[in-house]
Amino acid sequence: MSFKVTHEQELARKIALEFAEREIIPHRDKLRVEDEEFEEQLAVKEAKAGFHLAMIPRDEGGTGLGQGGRVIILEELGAAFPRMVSSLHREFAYAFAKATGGVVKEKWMPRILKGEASAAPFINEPQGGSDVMNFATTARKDGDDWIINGRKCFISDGHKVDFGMILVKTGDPKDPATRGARSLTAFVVEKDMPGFKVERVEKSMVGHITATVSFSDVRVPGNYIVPPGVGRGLTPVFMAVWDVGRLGISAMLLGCILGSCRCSIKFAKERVLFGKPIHDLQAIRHRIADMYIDLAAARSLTYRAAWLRDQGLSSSQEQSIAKYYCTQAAIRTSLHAINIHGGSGVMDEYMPQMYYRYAPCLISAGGTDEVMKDTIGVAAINGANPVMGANPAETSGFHIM
Amino acid sequence: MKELNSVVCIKPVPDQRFWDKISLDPKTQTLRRAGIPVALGPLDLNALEEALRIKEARGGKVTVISMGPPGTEEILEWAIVLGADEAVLLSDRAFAGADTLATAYVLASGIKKLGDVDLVFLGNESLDGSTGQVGPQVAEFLGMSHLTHITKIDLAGDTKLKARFHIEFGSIDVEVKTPVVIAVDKEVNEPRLANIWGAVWAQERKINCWSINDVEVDKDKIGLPGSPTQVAGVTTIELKRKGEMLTGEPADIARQLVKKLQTDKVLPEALVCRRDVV
Ligand SMILES: Cc1cc2nc3c(=O)[nH]c(=O)nc-3n(C[C@H](O)[C@H](O)[C@H](O)COP(=O)(O)OP(=O)(O)OC[C@H]3O[C@@H](n4cnc5c(N)ncnc54)[C@H](O)[C@@H]3O)c2cc1C
Ligand SMILES: Cc1cc2nc3c(=O)[nH]c(=O)nc-3n(C[C@H](O)[C@H](O)[C@H](O)COP(=O)(O)OP(=O)(O)OC[C@H]3O[C@@H](n4cnc5c(N)ncnc54)[C@H](O)[C@@H]3O)c2cc1C
Repeated sequence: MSFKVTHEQELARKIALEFAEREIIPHRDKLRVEDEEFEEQLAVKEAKAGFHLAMIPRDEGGTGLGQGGRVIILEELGAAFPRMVSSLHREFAYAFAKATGGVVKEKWMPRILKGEASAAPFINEPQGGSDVMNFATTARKDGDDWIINGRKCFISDGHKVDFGMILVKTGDPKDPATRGARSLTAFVVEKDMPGFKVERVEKSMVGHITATVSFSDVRVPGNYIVPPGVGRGLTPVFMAVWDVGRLGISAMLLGCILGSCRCSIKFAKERVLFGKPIHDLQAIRHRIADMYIDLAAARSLTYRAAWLRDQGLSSSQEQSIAKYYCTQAAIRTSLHAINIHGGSGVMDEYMPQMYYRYAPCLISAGGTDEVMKDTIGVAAINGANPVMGANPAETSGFHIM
Repeated sequence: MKELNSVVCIKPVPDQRFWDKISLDPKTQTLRRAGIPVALGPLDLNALEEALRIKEARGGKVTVISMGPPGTEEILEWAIVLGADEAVLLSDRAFAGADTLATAYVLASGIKKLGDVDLVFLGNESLDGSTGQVGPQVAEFLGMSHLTHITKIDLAGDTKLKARFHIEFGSIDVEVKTPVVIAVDKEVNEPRLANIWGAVWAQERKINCWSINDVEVDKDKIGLPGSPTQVAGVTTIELKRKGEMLTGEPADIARQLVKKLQTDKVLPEALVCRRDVV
């Protein structure tokens, strides 16, 4: 067996931790009230620190720390304060540009490396995100271009991102060759394209803003189609969602778990009852043990899913398992944290309630619990082996990273 | 413009986050520091920052150097993460137990070996020993001028720089020629946060480990035997709280308070007061 966090990746953790100790933790009160000016400044500082370069390979101008390094960074930044970490959108920008290649990559890559470009997946639709085949956004061919019409909702930072990867219908339901999965195509769309509009901004329970965006006769050049091409949209979309979205979300949930553990251990040492710190009470110690076990399990699943990707192996099942487990574990551990803190746990100026409110925000993002379990169940029934994980036969041959 | 090569002396000090774990061994009169992680001293970070800024402005190389036991590599590596080009660890059993003079002597011999050096930066004083002697002593051994308590540095020409240090009621600006040894105070700059590239540099840049055989030193001037100062005794100060209520009008209470603080030697007997306040 060989699965190991590298020294380089441990240094990445230390760099993220020192960043958090100076730029995030002392300013939690500003993040708590969602001070937009502060959030903007923090996003700029995160870009300057180069966190988005972790997953970009060396030969493309990144640091080559891999998904492993990236996940560790997001974990530490998320532990300092649970929120949508800004570098996730820069990572999406890279993934989409790389997947599309050609003019799109040429145009965006310089800004991506500088941390000045952000993107989001434009996938979900108002009538039900889990039912992709029922999507209503369409693209029709017009000369060399395509014309897109429709609406996408709950797009993370959809009101701010520079571009996105959109999934649309291009097929004809009456034509057997372009029905079903063959009816979907992915395009890169940019916010300055005429006809693109931010319809409204949606505020979630905490720290995660999404938007509904609409497309009316948005003209997109043919070379903005994401390979493998027309009618093959699900392939890149799922890969982007797995490689960037799902792993990133697992990492931010890991941050909730880590943060819950840290603040609870600190509190249990400082709070004195019956003449002793409360960690002396077995019931409290056992809660901490449960949290620690969840941290260990969630980390193992997430880091390993990342490591598989870094080896160039398929990790779709592992990523679904990690995302599902991290969601549940983050909800459990943050509730333990509230318990350990007593009344303080639900008070504004303490962290447990922040983690507890943020964790459920990520249940649906990147695919709901049921959808995760459904893919895992199908894979299990079809003979996938979770211990071996990377079955070469599973490798699709198409990866964003 | 001439490139400027800097050397930054950095000392491993106990990580401030673990100070509550440090205790005094009553028998040996030494500190029990085992298991306490080391960190780069806070003023050493300012020293490194200044060297990095000068490199960014003028080109050249930044080398960090430290005398310390094995394990000191960790702080040297962190200096590389922050942007240093190269690191030197002077480590040998023979260097152990050094006082400030023996420390400065070994550091200076390491700096001499590095050769072409324009600027030597240090913290004005360390977090633990805090004698503030190492900077001036290094300068003496190197035969360079030195500046201490520096709060501002500006480059002025190829071989000249302007610097400022604070005195009690103001500051003094000076101009010096390189090569020069500069000990900095925290006001000199705000140390940077590491960039993610640092994790990559740490893999690519070297930490050279030099033992007694790698530097030219007189064996009588190093380590405990070569140290003219020896620790005669160490005592722990017991801190106790004392409560006392003062009564009267606010101005009267203030007067009583000043008297008491003077009696307890917290304030000097003769107070210098600003006339407009009195
Ligand atoms: C904070 C946040 C950020 C988001 N960011 C983005 C983004 O950047 N880009 C983007 O495109 N989308 C984004 N989304 C949307 C997200 O992908 C969808 O919310 C998700 O796919 C679920 O879609 P839905 O909300 O329409 O729920 P529905 O699909 O309507 O689901 C309703 C219920 O049905 C269940 N269900 C669905 N399928 C099955 C099944 N097969 N078996 C059993 N039960 C099932 C679901 O689990 C759920 O309980 C975000 C969502 C959130 C909450
Ligand atoms: C408990 C204790 C007892 C001590 N007792 C004595 C004693 O009795 N007599 C005595 O002379 N000294 C004593 N020292 C000081 C000891 O010798 C120092 O560790 C060392 O010599 C440096 O002195 P300093 O820490 O005062 O440095 P300072 O002069 O305060 O440090 C200024 C700067 O010099 C540089 N520097 C200092 N040390 C190093 C190093 N090892 N490597 C690289 N750069 C460095 C750093 O840039 C630092 O910021 C004692 C220290 C301690 C912690």
